[in-house]
Amino acid sequence: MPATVPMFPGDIYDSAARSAADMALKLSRDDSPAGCAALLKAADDMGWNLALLPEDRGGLGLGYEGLTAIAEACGAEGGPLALAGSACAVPELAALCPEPIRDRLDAALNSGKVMTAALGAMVEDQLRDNGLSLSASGDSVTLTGTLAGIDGAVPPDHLLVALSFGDKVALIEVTKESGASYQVRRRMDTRHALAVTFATPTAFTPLAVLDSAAITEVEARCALVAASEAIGAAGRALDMTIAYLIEREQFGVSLSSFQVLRHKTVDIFVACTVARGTVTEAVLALDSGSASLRDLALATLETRAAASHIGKEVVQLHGGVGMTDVLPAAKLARRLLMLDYEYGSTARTLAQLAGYPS
Amino acid sequence: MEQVEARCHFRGNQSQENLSMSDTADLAEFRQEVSDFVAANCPADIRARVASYHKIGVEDQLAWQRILAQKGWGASTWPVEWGGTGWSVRQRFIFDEVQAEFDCPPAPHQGLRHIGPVLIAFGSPEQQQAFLPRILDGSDFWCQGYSEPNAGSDLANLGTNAVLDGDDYVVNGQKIWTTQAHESQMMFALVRTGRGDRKQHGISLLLIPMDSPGLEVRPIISIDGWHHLNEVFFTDVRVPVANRVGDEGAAWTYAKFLLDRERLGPVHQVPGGAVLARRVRELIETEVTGPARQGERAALLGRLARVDSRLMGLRRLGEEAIEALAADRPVGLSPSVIKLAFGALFQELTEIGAEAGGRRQALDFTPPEQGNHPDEAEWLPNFLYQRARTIFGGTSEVQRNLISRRLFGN
Repeated sequence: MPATVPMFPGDIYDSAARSAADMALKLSRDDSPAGCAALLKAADDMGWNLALLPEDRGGLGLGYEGLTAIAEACGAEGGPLALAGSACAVPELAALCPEPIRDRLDAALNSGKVMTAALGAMVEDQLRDNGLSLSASGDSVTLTGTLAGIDGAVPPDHLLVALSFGDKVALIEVTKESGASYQVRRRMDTRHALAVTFATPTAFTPLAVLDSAAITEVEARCALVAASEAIGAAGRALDMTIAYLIEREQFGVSLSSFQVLRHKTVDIFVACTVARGTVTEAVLALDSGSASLRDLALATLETRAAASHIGKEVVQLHGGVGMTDVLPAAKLARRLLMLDYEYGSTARTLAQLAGYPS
Repeated sequence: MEQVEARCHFRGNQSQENLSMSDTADLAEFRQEVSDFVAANCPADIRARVASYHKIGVEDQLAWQRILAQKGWGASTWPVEWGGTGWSVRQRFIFDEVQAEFDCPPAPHQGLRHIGPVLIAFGSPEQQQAFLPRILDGSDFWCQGYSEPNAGSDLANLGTNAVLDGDDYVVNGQKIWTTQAHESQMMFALVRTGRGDRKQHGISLLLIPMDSPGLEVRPIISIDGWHHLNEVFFTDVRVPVANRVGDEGAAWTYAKFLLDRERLGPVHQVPGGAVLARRVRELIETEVTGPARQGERAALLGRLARVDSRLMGLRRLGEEAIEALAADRPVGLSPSVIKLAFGALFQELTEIGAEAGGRRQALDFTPPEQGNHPDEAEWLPNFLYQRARTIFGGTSEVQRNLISRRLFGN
């Protein structure tokens, strides 16, 4: 029996847990981009990408409660899919566009097109690191170079990119016709990520020009979805650690008989449980319309800290075997350590919190 | 050692509470009623002492208890026939929460929440008549005689013995860390009246007047410079058999009953933490100012943000525990997690408070009882006192042992 309980127990979580387990099994046999494409199709058939989209926009209207229940279930299986980009950023960014564009993007999401997004803050990082250059002239934005770190495993039909300039953000849409090329990369946690390259200067007319605060909010919501995945991963990593400590013997006795190891395990449990509470609280506030940016930042701050602590402690408690990259617990540990590189970071969240009214 | 009651602020989520709209409106009305009463009736000088972490004496606690009792709100957790309010779990927490927000003094909880419920469940009719009304109306303050020099976390190892002699028990031994024993009228004490197969057997619960001949109270000055704690010595103290609660040798059962009743106890602490966090933030914003201290201020606010984020999670756990209790479902490990996490969190909060506002007190530390800095909030003594939070009511290490048994199945 799992040591922790899901954030939102119920049919959505149970169904997602079964599907995620099946996906993880398939992924263990074939984790090529083609294998991932099949999983993406399966997820889309189950409506995961439509979970957040309101019913009046053709979605399932499950709110953040439904989406994060799915994300948590996926996280427990190592997060076979990147849900934050496709299921959160895309519908949230679409909602910021003028109605005709929003409807077109919603229709694309509804028709099963592969869609993902890259947010402004990430782009700013890549502007420095990967040589992406941006120039704005009149009504158009021109891009050259490579933008990396995009959620996804296969080249998307529609990529929404938020580009910061000054205190404004231009939201552009990269399609198959845009002349961009994609490279599939591996992240630390073995999940795929995409990089998109504009070999020659490519001009785009923005879908919308937004205040940067709007993108900050979308990023915070995506961070909450990623944090939900981490909650699932942390719970499963804890279960694996408990099982390992019970089974493994040293000095002729089970490791679970050593008080120091038991207490370390309790501290993992407490960290996981408290983080779960913060994310649950923020999700409920989001769905009730009462969430502030501060609420979202606090929830992800706690979860980032917990994920980092748990990721490192899981390795320590598994001893040498924790250092192998084939052990499922080690993979979950890397998934947990990855959280601080997704949709912000601890340092950035702290900086943001300093500016938010309490 | 006694645990100072902290009270809480729970943000309800209607969809999670299974409350109808009318229930929600009723609760809002109830909150307003309590707020209006507390604002109008809780003495300002007592509230000021609470808000500035000055010592809250027994008289402050009893004064507020008498006011609440006159209103009919003296015992929110007791059955109506004994003067309880008949409130729901949710109403009780709203009541606690409002009191926290208005800086009311802690309830005299050793009487109200500990021995009172035990007497209601296991006391004789005579005991109930003699003691319950005096707890309710603030006539008697009770202290708890549990810990001994060789019985702390291992409470069942207690050795204070009571030997039957006619209609009395003759008690000899020593209790320690007895909070407010020097200001109490009564003590409920665990004493050994026999030996059984296990050391939990043969322990009885006695109700002992603090003015009994042979009973001596000696002060222990705690790390914060205050006198809250005491040693209590028993030398041939005669206690009537009529003051034994329930059966001889069966007190461990009553202790477990109490533990079960108090399983939501840690949840009460969460909202008090929210009030403290708000106050620490205000302190940083008023004390750590100016360009030269910008970095220091950012560092303190960063630490406070971590505390705020954990408080947010604990608030949700508390809410879930209340919902479970209200629906008669198992509460699970949440209260234990809250107790463990909240102890560390409260200490961190008061540490931040001491760093931001305790410098003068650290450099000029005379016992607060001698009027050290009467016009300042006592951030430093509060920080020192809060070291006890991970010790009293079951140390953090004991809590980890308890949780680990559930996690590992042994």
